[in-house]
Amino acid sequence: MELWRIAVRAVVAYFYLFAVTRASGKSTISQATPFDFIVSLIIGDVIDDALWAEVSIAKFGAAAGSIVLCDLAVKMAVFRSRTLFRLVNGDPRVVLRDGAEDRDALRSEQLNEDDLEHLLREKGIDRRRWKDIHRALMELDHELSVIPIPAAEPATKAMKEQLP
Amino acid sequence: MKPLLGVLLAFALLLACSAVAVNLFADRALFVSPPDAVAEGFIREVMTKRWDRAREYLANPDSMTRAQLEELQSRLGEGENADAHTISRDAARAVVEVTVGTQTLRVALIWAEGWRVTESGMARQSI
Repeated sequence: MELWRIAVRAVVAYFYLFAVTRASGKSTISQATPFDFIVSLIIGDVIDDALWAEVSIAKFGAAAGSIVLCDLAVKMAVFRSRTLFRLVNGDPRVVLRDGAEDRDALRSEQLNEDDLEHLLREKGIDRRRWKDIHRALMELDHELSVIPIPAAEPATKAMKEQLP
Repeated sequence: MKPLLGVLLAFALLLACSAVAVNLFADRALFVSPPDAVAEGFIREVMTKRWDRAREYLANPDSMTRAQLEELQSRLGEGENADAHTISRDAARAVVEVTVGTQTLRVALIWAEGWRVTESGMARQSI
């Protein structure tokens, strides 16, 4: 196959994907969910067939466009319904409660104690300071949030002013 | 609703570009699969014994019986590597040579809203 045809197909596919991605209002990569990654992989496979002319550009457009449309429709529905949001994305899960790890929650998140230790160390909390944690939650984006026990929080100026 | 319309608009634009290229400028290899890719795909489906999918490449899906496809497959073997190049092409017809292992097949195609394999175009050659 002539090289220029491959180049033109690549350019057409690029601008089409650029247009549908812009139109679908994708925000930042940091907001991407694991399913966004799967959608990207599917589109990557579809574009491969288009580049090597195994399918027509119209078929590529239909396949990639349908996937983006489906993804968009689900996202819009999730945005409007709290129930659907929880069904699709799940809930943040408490993996550490008042200094003690929740083994069932860790198992559901496919984490072991070492992983939790590692994640907390990244937050500057070593094992000895787990007792200062009120809740540690595995968020929907697989980031760990830590809520300290109020007494363990560093004192602020406002607190000092409240003292008798 | 605006994003949904945006995606649909992008798709409609792509379809329009494709239709203009094919119908107005007689594109037969850029926005559509060129004849060599079609012939190669057909031979690959035959080699992997996917008869129904192979028939989708034919101008007339009933023009080749299962027995004929099996006969072609037995000649080609079960490999997956097929290499095709176009011998001749105009707006309505094309001839493609497909090499599979030590064998070369000539595949004739006609344009029918996309390139389609014609059953009469199959002729075996040894190299």
